[in-house]
Amino acid sequence: MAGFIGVLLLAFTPFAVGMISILLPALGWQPLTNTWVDTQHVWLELWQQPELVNALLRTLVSGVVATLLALVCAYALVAKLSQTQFGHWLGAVAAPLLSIPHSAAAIGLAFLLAPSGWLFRLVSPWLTDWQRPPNLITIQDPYTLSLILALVLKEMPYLVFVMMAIARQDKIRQLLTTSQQLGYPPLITWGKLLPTLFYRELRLPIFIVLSFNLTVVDVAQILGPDTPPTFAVLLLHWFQDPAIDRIPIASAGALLLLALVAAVSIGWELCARSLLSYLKNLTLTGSRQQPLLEWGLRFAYLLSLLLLALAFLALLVLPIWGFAQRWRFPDLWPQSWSFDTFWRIQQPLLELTANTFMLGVTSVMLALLASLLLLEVSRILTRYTSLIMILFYLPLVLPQIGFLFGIHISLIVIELHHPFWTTAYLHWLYVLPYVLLTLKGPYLAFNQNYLDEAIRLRPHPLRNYLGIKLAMLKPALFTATAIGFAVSVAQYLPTLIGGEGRLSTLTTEAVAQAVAGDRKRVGLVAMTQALLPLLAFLLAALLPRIWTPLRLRLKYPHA
Amino acid sequence: MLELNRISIALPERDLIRDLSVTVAPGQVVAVTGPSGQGKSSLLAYVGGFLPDALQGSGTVNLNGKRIDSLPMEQRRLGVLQQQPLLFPHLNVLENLLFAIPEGQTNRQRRARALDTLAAAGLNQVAYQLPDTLSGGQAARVALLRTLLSEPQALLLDEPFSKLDIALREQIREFVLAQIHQFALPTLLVTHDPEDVAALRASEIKL
Repeated sequence: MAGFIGVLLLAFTPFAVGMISILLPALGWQPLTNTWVDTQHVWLELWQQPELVNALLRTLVSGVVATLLALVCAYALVAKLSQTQFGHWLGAVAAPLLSIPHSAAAIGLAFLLAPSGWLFRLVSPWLTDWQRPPNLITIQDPYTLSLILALVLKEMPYLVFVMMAIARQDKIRQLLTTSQQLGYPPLITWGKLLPTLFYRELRLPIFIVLSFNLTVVDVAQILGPDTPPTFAVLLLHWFQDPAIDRIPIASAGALLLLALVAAVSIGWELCARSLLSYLKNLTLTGSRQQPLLEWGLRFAYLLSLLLLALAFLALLVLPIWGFAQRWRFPDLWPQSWSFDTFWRIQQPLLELTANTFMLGVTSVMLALLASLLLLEVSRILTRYTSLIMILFYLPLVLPQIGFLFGIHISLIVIELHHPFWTTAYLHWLYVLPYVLLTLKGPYLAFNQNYLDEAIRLRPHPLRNYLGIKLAMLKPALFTATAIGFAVSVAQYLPTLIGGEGRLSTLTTEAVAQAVAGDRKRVGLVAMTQALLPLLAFLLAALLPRIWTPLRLRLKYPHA
Repeated sequence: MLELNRISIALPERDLIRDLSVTVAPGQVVAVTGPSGQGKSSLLAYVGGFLPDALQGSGTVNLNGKRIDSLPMEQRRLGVLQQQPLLFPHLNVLENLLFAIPEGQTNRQRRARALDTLAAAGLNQVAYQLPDTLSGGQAARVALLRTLLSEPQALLLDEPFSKLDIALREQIREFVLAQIHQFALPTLLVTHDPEDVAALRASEIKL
């Protein structure tokens, strides 16, 4: 019980501390000099920032459009494919995409979309007559198109994954069959009837995606516009401004961003409700033909296939750049390949990989321990299970930038400098919800009779818990480990803030170098960044299957 | 000797069993029969110490003169067999048996004992297999051997044959009865199948 309360405190104190630490500066407190200015003054200064309106506008547009597009494309894909073999196959192929860090995918996309990128080489010079990269703004464009594309590429597979699980429920299948028997083509059912059923279960994932898109920093730094950037990136600049008197307006801005996320979420919910009630009325008309709906879904489906193809290309282009020696525009392939870049940067690359790996392993192991403790307690106190689980969604919906900078400020104030452990702790905060949610189902569904039987046969509760219960839950534990590890690898802002610039990971390095850096180097770093979680997923799928046969073969070689 | 003294079991809203007393001698089988929902399995759970929290149980249980109803499950020295064999799927048959053999012997001795037990039951060829490769009859026999190797002083059987093919049941019943006699175990059986009662030559208590 003490451990349970301990974990709750560890998980939620930082959020409280972080929020307070930006609330006070937003009210006018200067943490470094411990002086107060007028609250009104802080907020007036915020309003007078010349970049404010544009930055907010760009945030709003990119966040909402990306969420909408990802949702519609994912839904259309699921509508067309969820009941087919191809859908199963595609689901299996697309699953690893989920584990790729956002920033790695964004870098790959930048390599595709840049004027000297792969897409332009594909059509040059035979179609466009370009002998040199055209003078076009295709990434970091002011309309945030490239940013939107990157966000959609990354969020769509996640939503597909969630929706496929819903679509395979019996009640959905039965409903499809029934309405087909009543003369409705499946796409019409998907367009009119099913959105209401899906939305009920999709609300939380959508809000997570929406909040992420509105507050994302790393992807927006790579592909988002400049002068002004999106609001979250602007806040980062303010917080990092050497002129420390910007902390109050940055904190006020972080609160503004929080308010924006809340307002957009509410607006989204209202729009969704009216749209769904419109669809419901449409259902009651009895019409078996809705050309607009049907063609809309077909178009979105084609778009989603195109986006998936783009996502694969974006990953493929990373190693190509990494191992290219000479690659002149407009050649489609490098003239020559080499390991030169790899040998040249192997030392820093190894160090970055080691840091990333250590942070991942540390935070995941601690998250596993905490999750087992929380689940064991909620197994006994069944009444509180759902309450505890809801609390742990909180970190996923709150914008990172506000509370993390609060943490940053409090760390400065109490003069705590321990980059590795601070960073591991911040990673743990974000890894924990994913590990917990992954383990929850299998852990609570475990047939406790096995453990009871074990206790009767061998009176060693702890040894039985480890040797029977946890050993039998191996597949779930490995999956949770891989997911947690992927989450840790992808963390940008927590590493930046916890590490105080003294701890670099593949992700911070890739983001820092993404735009200005040498492409071959960035390609290698981003490729390694994408490979680590992929490897973890591969092992998580493989190890539980071969574990017991392998152990037995080693232990009983003659059997 | 297993003595049940004035056992009562109740749901919050109604009584299931009232003041049941019975004494089971070594090697004897007492069968508790009756329709489902009457608390047969709950009676076993109370004696075994795994009664769900939703149920209320009272009464004393003595095993070989020692009162056990207030002891935790693992200290009662009772062997339990249920419908499902509950063999640990990640351990092979030999390891499942080794799991049950009490400490205090060398590993070599423990292993020899497990293999001897398997051989005596004609199961030596499955020693290194995983439980999910066993047939239903093999799994049932291994589960019983495992329970016996933990050296219980009484057996609780909860419909242990109901999941088996009819052809197999007879064989397994004989096997179980032989073991009960060999180890002189007082045995409490819960079943709805009259053939179980007859085959194990049990005295019957109808609920």
